[in-house]
Amino acid sequence: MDRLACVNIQGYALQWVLTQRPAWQSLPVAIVSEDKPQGLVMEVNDIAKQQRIAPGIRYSQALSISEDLRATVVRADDIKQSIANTLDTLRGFSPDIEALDDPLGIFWINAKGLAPLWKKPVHWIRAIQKSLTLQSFSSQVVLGYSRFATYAISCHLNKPYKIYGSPQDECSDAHQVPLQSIPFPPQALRQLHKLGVTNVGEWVHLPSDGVLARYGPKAFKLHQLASQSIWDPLKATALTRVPKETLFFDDPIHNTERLLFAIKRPLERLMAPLAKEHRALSMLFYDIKLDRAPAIAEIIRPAEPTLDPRLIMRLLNLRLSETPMPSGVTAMHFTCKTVKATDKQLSLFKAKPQRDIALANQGLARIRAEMGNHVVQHAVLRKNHLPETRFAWEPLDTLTQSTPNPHKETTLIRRVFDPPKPIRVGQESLSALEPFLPDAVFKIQGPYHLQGGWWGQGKVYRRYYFITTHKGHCLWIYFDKKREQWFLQGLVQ
Amino acid sequence: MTTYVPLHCLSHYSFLEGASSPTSWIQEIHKQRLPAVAITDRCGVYGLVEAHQKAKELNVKLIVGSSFTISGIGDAVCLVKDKSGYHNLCALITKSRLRCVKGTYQTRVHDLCDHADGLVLIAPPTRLLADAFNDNLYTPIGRYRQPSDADIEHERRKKARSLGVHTVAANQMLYHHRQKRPLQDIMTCIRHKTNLRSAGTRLFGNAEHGLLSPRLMASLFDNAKEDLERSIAIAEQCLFSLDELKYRYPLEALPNGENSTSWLHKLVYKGAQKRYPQGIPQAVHAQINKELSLITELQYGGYFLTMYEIARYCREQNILCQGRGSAANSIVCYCLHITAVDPVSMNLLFERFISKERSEPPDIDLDIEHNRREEVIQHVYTKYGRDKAAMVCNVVRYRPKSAIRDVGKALGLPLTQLDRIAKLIGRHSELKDEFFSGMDPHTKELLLKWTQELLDTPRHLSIHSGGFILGDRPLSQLVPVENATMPGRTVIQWDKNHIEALGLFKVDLLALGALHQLHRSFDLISKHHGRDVTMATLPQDDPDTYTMISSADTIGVFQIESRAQMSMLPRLRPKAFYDLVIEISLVRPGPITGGMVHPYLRRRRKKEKVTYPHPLLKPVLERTLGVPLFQEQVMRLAMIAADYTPGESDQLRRDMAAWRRKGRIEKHHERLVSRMKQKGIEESFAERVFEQIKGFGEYGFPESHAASFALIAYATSWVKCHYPAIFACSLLNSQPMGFYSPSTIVWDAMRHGIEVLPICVNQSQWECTIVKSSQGDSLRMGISYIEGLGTREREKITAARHNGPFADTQDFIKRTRVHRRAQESLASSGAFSCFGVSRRNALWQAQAFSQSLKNTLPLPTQNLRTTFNPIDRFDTILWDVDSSSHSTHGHPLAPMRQTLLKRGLRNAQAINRLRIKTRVHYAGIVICRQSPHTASGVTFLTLEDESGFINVVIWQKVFEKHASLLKTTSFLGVSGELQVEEGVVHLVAHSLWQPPTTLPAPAIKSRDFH
Repeated sequence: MDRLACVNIQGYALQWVLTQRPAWQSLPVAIVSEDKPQGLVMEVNDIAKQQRIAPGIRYSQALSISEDLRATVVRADDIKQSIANTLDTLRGFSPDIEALDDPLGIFWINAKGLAPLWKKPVHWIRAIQKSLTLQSFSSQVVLGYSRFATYAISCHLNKPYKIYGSPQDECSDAHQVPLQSIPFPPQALRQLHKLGVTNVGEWVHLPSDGVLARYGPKAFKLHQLASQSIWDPLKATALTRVPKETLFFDDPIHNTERLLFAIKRPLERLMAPLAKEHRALSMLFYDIKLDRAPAIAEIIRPAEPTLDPRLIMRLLNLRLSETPMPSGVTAMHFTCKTVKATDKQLSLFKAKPQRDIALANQGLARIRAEMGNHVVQHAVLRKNHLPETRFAWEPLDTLTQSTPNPHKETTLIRRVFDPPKPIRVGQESLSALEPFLPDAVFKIQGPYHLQGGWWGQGKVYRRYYFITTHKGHCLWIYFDKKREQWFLQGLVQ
Repeated sequence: MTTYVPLHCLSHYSFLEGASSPTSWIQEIHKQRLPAVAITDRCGVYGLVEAHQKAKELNVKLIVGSSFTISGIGDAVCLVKDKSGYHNLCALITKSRLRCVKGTYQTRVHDLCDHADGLVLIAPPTRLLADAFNDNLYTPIGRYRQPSDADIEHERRKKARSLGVHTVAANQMLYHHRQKRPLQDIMTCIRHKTNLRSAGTRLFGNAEHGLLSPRLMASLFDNAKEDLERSIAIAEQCLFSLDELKYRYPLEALPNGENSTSWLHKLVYKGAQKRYPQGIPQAVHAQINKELSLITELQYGGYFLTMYEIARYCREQNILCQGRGSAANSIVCYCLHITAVDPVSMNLLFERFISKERSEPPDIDLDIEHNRREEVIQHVYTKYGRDKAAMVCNVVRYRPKSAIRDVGKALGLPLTQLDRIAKLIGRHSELKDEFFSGMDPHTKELLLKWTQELLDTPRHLSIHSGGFILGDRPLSQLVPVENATMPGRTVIQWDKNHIEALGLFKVDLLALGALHQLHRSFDLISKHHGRDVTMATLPQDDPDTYTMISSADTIGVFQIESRAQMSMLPRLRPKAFYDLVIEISLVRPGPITGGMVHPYLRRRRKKEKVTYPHPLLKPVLERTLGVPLFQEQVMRLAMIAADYTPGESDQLRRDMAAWRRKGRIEKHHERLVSRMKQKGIEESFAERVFEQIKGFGEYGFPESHAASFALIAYATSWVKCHYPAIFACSLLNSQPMGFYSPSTIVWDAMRHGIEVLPICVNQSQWECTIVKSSQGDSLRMGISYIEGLGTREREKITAARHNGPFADTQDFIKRTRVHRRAQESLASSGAFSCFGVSRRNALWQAQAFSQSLKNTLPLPTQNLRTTFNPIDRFDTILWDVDSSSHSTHGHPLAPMRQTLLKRGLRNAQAINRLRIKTRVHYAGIVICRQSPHTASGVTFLTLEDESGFINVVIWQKVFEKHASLLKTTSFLGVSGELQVEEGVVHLVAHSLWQPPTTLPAPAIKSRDFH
């Protein structure tokens, strides 16, 4: 079995959409290029085809043909994970797999040397198709000799698979494949069709330089591949190594120091190969299996990607000493996320500014390690009306040099309570509020009305007041008309 | 009780900002018993007429004003005190608008100062403004229950004190009721192209931008009562009313010693002598005198002189024009050569045009050949001055589809989902839950509710198709003028309804393709046959022409080429001009829905006795065999049978037109029926007449209008009958126009035995031309029909042709350097066949050369001689259609006929000879789809093959079953039963199918009408 197979999952994106939205199975469905009426229909399912909706028309046009049509946009990122899963599945049948980026759903599998494992090629192919069916994908498989020929034939195959016993047979069949079955540059396809060149065989007979001059490099490359004038081996997709280490303890460990001691070596083993791969650790993920309690999952994130296990150990020390262990640890599993190591990370000597941002970031990393990743946040202003939504707390990844405005006027500081503090008074009258104030009222400003959110579930109607007391307290309060209750929104200082 | 006057109200004519109509504002002010209101739309007075009318009706004081946002100042409101103030406001708006592109404005502080006279300005004060406006400047105090109010107010009061300017309570109000606040939020989102969740502070934080009751306003300004009182004081200063405007029609330059009346009198009689060279008949004399005295009495002379002047200009410039509509009822218009129909000989009703009771200006619509209309428009601008002439605007309003799309976007719904709902709503009369599948009930409720609220709200301003307003002084003193999208055009801020309501004169200059085609035909007849023909000198009542018309051979003929008209022609068999007038009027929704067609046809064929409901009505209905077909007849019927005055009968016509909307017709019901009964007319007839006239106002033609159109229809028929090649040539050169695509026009010409020569780069001109051959006139197709060729290619090819014919493909490309797509289209169309090269080889060569166009090196010569299979006739035709929208090599179905015959599929000619109720199978190219709303869901198709046409009728159930096939294929098979009536054949479809052929369907676009 010294051949290769092309696995063609036609309409990959569409098949994926139908797995995500099973209710659409019985409806005409289209993938569109953008979420607009002018979006182009890219792929359609069989029901849509029966209703004569064809790729290439506008979504609005397709809708005028079938009012039941459902459509969605699929971005590469949406199906990235699905492609990775398919690759993993196919790796069960050969270590050498090549996946095509455009169009999606084309995979070549190197079948060389697999004969001892699979008595007949057909068993191997059926096993591949069965595993894909379990993922709700239907596919065509062609086992042959060249990447282009197997691909071209798979695009026009009207049965689940085809096996070739000789390159001549494969070539002969490939030449019969209509050009329109192959994802071909549309303009070139249209022009070739007018010249009466409708299948691969007629096409490869055109002069190669003539093709380049008329139809451009992409068509030229396809022409070379089809005419086998260039060597085109399978380019297997590299398997990304995910560093991982697992530790098992015969006796559950209760002592943090013992645990740290046990971790040290495996952590070094985990990080040692990274330098050779020119990569640095950016995040360490670890699971702690406990004797009599649910497992704990944690993440350690250094200030910047690192190759230094001691730094990670220090952060682990902080985190573990703050993590209460309800039971003894029976196992630990480590894995990490890596990024490409940069020269900057490796440079040891550099000029340090008075305010060392790097040190500050290290300090924040320690805080994160000790108290959790969510604790380091900063406020971002938002243009909203509700006081509690005029700013948002967002995780701070990296601290940057601040640029204060030296001419900024001093302003009153408002301390906002989020959520606002309820005041147990059910009447709107301000006099009913007085017993709850720190001292006698000196001045009241308001009411200021805030009304909005009528379009959602969270309708808002508040009447705000600033109440200044004789002792100088300034309270920012409101009466919530919806809940019929007073709240302390904040204090003004 | 303390009261106040809202001085800063924006209506929905502040596009996508104000959420209430001017009418709603006035009604609410009336309800709240406020002393006055100022409608101050943003840099405009778009809603002024609407507000004025309602204010008059409810006796509410309306203050005219406008608001502006000015750089460095903020919001400023100008209120009009008196007439000079109104002139200044219009001038200020005009200046602010004309310096910007359509839809935007820029007002500067100096502009305000320059137009201070007669205006009250409410704006944050500056020294400059205080000096310009003196006591008429006020500082606005706005209280919206926002924390920032106090700071702004403090600053403004401080500034006002320092400049000695008074303050006034002037909240900006965007809706008349706080329930409209969500609509204002949605409009804000539409304006900012965002959605409610992301809009943030672009939306107002509360609902305090609405009209407040006096009680609420008093509590809001309880510490500043003098500011409220000052709003009343300002209102008392503003005394201007729109009624004060005196519009004067511009005076034409008149010869010495003449006034409008005397000059018009002279021109009319001079024209009458030309119209009646044998002597002016007494009846004409009488009618002229009657009309002239009424025109003089109503002071409309200037208007007629203007129309005469425009028509004269057209004649001088050799531009065909002709008045349409009710103007053709006037002998004065006929004598001034504005219209072409003799109203006296046709016994047309003048009161349909002008009536004393109506006291509204006449409306003359002038049709001008379409490609030269812009010349006439620019002439009007030049003659009357850019400042005294402008076009009427058209307010584009939200319709269900656009409303649901925009509201949905504001709610953040996916656009594809909204598009689907919008289309479903367009197609189905009732809303179904399945339209909103996947949408939560709350969102659905919001979507529907606010779509309903947004309906009919102005979206943006557009331009009227041809309406002009002229003034004797700068228009900007009457109404602001702003830029239109089209360069060189300006529009006023009022639409045709506003113009009509104020009784202003509108000059309508409309474009008509048929006149352009006729002009071209006359030129070609003169050039190739030496015969000078004009509309006036055309042979009248030509029997050959009427024979052709009666046989429905009217492809391309003005007005009588539609499938419905063509089906009627063999039944009506027009033999004289008046028959054409009836033909044009009969196939209209009014007579069809009124059930008048069949009675008329039966009486015409003498299958039914001609009767009249009352002897008095015989003169009215005699010409139409007792069946009312024209608007004028309905009016006369009311006058004779129900004693309506001419003015009342015209009001009846207007109410008929509006009956669907406002139910105004019902007030005539009692009067008409009871009075007719008193005259001895049977109640059943009276009721039937009433039902019939309902459909008329909206869809029926006035007889005069039908007569004007019939003239053009006759002229085009005459050309088609006697000069078919010239007819086809002029029609092809006037495209796009009419009912049929170029391919149908070419194949129709070929079926008439005309030799149509293909496009050739050495023989063809840019446009189609007439070539003399042994067979008479032949038609050579023009290069303009090649897809993808524009003005630039025209210039390149024409320039290259000056240096002699092209030697080969390479020579053509080298000399013209036209772009790649043009080269390929030329090669595909066979335009290079004169070089002895096959189409495929020409295409292969063109593809190679086009890659080398960007450099100046010699074109490549390698790989040019590759061998390709020759293309057969079918492909030749397909290539032609694909590259030039037509084929001179025949109809695509001609080469397929043998294959189709083997399957039992006969051509149209054979099918049209079969008997009624024959069951047939037929396959043809769909060239026209129609689903008129009068047909109760029936769809009509016209299918074409090499021998002619088949009319297909598809009932709703059959349509629904085969909808996707019908919408997606141009080559369609139909099985059904024939209906034959007086030579008119219809195939009633039972099923539709894809014809059994492996050949591709020709990409012929059908013309679809709904």
